[in-house]
Amino acid sequence: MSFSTTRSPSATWPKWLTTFGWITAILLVSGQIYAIVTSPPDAAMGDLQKIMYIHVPSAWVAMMSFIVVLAYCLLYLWKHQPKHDLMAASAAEVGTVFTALAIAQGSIWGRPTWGVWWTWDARLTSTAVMLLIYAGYLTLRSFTDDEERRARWSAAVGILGAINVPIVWYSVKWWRTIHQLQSDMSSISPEYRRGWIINALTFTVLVVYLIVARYHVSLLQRAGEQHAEEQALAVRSVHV
Amino acid sequence: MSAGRELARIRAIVWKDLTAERRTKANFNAVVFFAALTLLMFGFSLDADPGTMKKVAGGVIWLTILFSGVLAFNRSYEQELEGGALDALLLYPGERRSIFLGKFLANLGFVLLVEAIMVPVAVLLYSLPIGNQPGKLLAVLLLGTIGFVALGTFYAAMASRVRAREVLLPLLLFPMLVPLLVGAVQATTALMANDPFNRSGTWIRLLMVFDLIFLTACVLAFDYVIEE
Amino acid sequence: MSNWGYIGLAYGVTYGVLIGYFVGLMRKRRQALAAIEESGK
Repeated sequence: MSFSTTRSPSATWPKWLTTFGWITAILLVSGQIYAIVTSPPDAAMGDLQKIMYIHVPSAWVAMMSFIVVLAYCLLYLWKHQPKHDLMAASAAEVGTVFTALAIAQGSIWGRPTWGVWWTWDARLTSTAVMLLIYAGYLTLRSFTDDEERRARWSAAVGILGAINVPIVWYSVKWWRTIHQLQSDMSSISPEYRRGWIINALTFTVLVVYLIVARYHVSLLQRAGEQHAEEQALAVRSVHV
Repeated sequence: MSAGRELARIRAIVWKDLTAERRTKANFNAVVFFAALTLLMFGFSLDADPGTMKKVAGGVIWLTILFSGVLAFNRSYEQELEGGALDALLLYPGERRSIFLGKFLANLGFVLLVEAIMVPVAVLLYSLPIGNQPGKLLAVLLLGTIGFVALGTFYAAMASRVRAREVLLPLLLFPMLVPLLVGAVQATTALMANDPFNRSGTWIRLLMVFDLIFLTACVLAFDYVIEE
Repeated sequence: MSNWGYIGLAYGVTYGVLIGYFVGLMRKRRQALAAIEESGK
């Protein structure tokens, strides 16, 4: 069974997605403004605490994306439907963006707090490893041209990567406890929690939108390629 | 498929891979040479006094193993790609996992042999203590190598078939090896200093769990990765 | 740099990347739709 003999999925942009996009943007901005405006400076870190309203949601959402990647990789190996592979890839791409953001935000927060742009803090380091694992996934995809092979390989690599995430987390944590390090961001008072939760929710909506949008773009790209292929074949057979 | 027949298949593949290697003994020599060279380069670049060297020796040794070992994995698929022998192998009735296990064992033998030469060279070069538990140290070397070779053999099945394979393999492999690298280096360093805080046990357990999980995962996933 | 400078940097980078990613995505969409139009003729 080859990929290209399955009927190409719909080649349109779903209208509800545009509406969803607008809703996402509104929720996102209101959540951010609410949290920034209503939160008092923290006793320990002052106004820097406000970075938490993008950092914590970004990290949370990145983790969520990779669970989505795992789910769709497994689904693909089970059902062999191209759309599952495309969903996994979309989630991986979006997840990688948020992972990179989380690292950048963590680093920026760290500079005025600890005086350095990077510390080998357990969370920051584990997140960097995760970034590399998923960047590897995306790189492998970009080097594999055959659709079916790309889907199969991505599924295997995605699953192995996901299995490694908890292992990386624990081993890096043990490693860093040997070299006692500074306090990290979790030492924040609970009065900020509402802001976090609201923004975690709005970011979740954002990431769902981005993954679905990315997925539909992939569908369009694939439909375009298949149409072009069919056309080329049709032209050739007419000229026989 | 009966266990006996599968074992025979695995043995056949191991033998084939290893003897192909022996025919090109030059390759083994080149990898050993590269390992020794890497050790020297570390010496030049770190420019460390003996005390500091003892602290970083674990890291130097394991990075050298990783950088030299990685050269071996793609080759184990290259030979078949050229000869078309892989297709013939796949036509054989029986499971693909015996191909993986065969290649894994062949690569394991190869890398362990490189280490057998390279680790003593490191010890001599940097005047390293072996510590009072050499058995445990050997166990760490073995466990670390097993995980490394399992994942390396697995990822090479893909990397060897695409362009830029020399860079793609380490790109995919090294992030996955972080827990193993951390564990192996910590255990090695601790054991070489006689393990005053008794830490090596935890790290050895980590290595065992890592090996078990990924050996299993690679065997299971190999079906999806090897080609017709 | 003052604390607010760092806050601004963090938010700036975050929204810069997010908007950039979104714009890139929409451009890919337009190209794909155009390609379908083309081949449909």
